[in-house]
Amino acid sequence: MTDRFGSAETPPEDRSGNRTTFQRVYDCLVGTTDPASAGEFASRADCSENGARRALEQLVEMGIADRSNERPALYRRNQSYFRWKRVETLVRDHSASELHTRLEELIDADRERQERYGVPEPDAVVPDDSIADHETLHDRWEDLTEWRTIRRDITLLKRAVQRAESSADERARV
Amino acid sequence: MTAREEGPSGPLDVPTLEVLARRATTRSLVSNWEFRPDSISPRVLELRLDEKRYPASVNGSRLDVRWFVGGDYTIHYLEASDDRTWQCRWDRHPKPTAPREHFHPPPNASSSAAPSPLESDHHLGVLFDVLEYVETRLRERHE
Repeated sequence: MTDRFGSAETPPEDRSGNRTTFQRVYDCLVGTTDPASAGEFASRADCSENGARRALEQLVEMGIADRSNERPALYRRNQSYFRWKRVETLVRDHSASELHTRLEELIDADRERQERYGVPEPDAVVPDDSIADHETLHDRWEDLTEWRTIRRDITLLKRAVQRAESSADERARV
Repeated sequence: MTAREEGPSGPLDVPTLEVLARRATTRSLVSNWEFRPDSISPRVLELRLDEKRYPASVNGSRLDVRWFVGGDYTIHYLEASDDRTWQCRWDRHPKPTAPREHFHPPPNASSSAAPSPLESDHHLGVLFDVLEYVETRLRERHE
């Protein structure tokens, strides 16, 4: 951490954060869920198109990126890799009982929303066109996205709890 | 991006928030970050800003960042003093009466949405545009 004092004379800091081309392309890929071309990655990561393509091809080989068969090729993050990575991190950083407690909380929160909205899942909620006030709309949007987050995390936490409980067998098998 | 213009926002995008946290803390403005309520099932990324950059009357400033799978987001800037909170918010979410990307201007992040001043639509661009907005505000306060 720097503790330079900000003043009107401070030049704007550059956006690269001293990361290599490969790291910058990776950072861009992580947030890319809609397919994008190497050229688009190059402009976002501030590198050459060839540099971006080289990094992306390496990420495809590592199973971190998906490449489409179109020409030019389009790339996006491999969702299943990032789901796997998050499960691994949860298992590494938390005990099975900690994960289990949180999972129970999320299952309760999911049930509470099912009752409140009277539907089994967020995608089944009928949009309420009578809401015109922006804050009310915003709150409802946040509530529904939170519900989607809860349901996604229930899936991942179930996996993590399973992994944590069976990691002993896992080690024995490897 | 236009293909999903009408679609709902996805769940919170945790890997993307981790990248944003890592890249934000390379800036001197951002002192540290934390997932709230916890890192098991986060709801928001909190970026805490360097208090040395603020006048003594400000007793806390932070950016609350939510980024959702598919690229919708809400980023809330708060500057708390004893008597009031100066705040604004950048949003990208489905909205029937305004552009999907919009801005709730300071000092109250008022609910009348204005066009978004952000030029970028990918995660790092949005983050850096917001950090630069805050930097500019701080420079103007110093002068």
